[in-house]
Amino acid sequence: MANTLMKNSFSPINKAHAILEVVFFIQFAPDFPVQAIRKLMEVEHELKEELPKVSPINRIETTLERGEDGPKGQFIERPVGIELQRIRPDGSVEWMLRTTENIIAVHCLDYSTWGDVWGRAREYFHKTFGRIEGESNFVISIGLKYIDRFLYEGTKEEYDSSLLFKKDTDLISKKSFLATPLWHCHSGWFDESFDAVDAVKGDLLNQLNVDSSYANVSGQKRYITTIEHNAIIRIEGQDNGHLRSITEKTDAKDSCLDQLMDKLHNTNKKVLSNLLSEQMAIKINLGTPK
Amino acid sequence: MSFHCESGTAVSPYGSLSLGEIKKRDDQNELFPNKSSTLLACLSTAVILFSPQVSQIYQSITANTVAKASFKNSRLDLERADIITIARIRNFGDYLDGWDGDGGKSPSKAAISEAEKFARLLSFDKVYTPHISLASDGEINLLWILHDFRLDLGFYGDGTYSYYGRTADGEEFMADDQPFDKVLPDQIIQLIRKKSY
Repeated sequence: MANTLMKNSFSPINKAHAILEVVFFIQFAPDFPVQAIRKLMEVEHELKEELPKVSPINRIETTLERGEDGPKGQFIERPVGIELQRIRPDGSVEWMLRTTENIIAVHCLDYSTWGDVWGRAREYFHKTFGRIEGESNFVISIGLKYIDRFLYEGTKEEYDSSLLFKKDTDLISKKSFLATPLWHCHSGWFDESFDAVDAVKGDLLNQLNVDSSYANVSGQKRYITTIEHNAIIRIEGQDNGHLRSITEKTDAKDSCLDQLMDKLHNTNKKVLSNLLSEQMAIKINLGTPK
Repeated sequence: MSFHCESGTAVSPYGSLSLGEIKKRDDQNELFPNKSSTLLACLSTAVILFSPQVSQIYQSITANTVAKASFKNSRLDLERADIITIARIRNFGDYLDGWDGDGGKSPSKAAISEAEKFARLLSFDKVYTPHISLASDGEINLLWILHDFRLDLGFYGDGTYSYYGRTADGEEFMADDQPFDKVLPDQIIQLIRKKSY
């Protein structure tokens, strides 16, 4: 009987999809002043239903000097941010908001669809933005990180990465197609064709780290391939107007931040479309980038 | 001043890092971007050597990391109804023409995508999980066979779905050409709802 099912020794880590984590992040400069950090930390009260586990982030600074009687040390501890988490019954993190001196990041570890996940992250961002109103910081970068993972279920001898990746992709080294299941390929580049939005100009940095290695998956040592893609808009100029444009609270779904995140999401789709085999793209329902 | 960490572990907001890793990331400005002094996070054990020379690890501008991921080596609960349903629908992408040995058609990409989008509208914690199958004409079917109700729903990928349902009492529900992103009528949702809800 002829083959009627496409065989593939690779499968998305979560069967329905390959996404381990998505991180939305905004980087500010200079660091938030102490008062702003305090205000940011108070966002825990607004998010206690959604993200009930609270952990302060403290920085310990040490100064060491060589003295006549031996080394002298001084330690100073101060709060720099907060981590708010929603935990699953098995103890793993489902959602997280993390603020530090210069970064606000929302992590999703239970991906469903872009619309749902960004909609929720957006809400968390807006709650934190309310805490830094009136600050004079600049937004210097906006980013989106996707981490996808695939399991390899064949033998070392049968390993063929062209079942997972397009053979003619220019995003990983040709060596990756000749290798055993243990290899890595990390790269970074600017996308010159990128066009941000009217209110915010910047260039687009892509970072693509592909690692094929071992991992402990459900208690077993397995071959896995992890694809980490960062799409980061580095904002041009230091105009505080960017802060207002980006952090503006609006119910409309096409705010400046919505448009920028949408562009970053599309960038991730383009990269994965150029990277993954057609069969795997269908298997994760990648969709067509705009 | 520079330092070299020989051994030890650290606990930081970034997880449990070896001192070597802290040094590496610190050199990459990942942990402490604004170093005015030597900074370490919550050291539990450390051996620090003073060194007259500072060695910098070169890093390209395109390699600078802004935000770190937080995942551990975990995966989602593969027994979850939403995971099972979406995985089952996406799996039909592996079916080639002739998959049933009798000229069966593979489903279109649109049929897979629309069935998935419709399935995501269901509250999986509240309704029973459907049986999901592929018909020989490429239609993706969602089927509920319950004690007092049977519902059959189909997607061809033309932007719509159709359904036929019948209760044990003989009451019938049917519709064609429903937009794939339209939820089922509430009366039908009540019939496929888990009894505990």
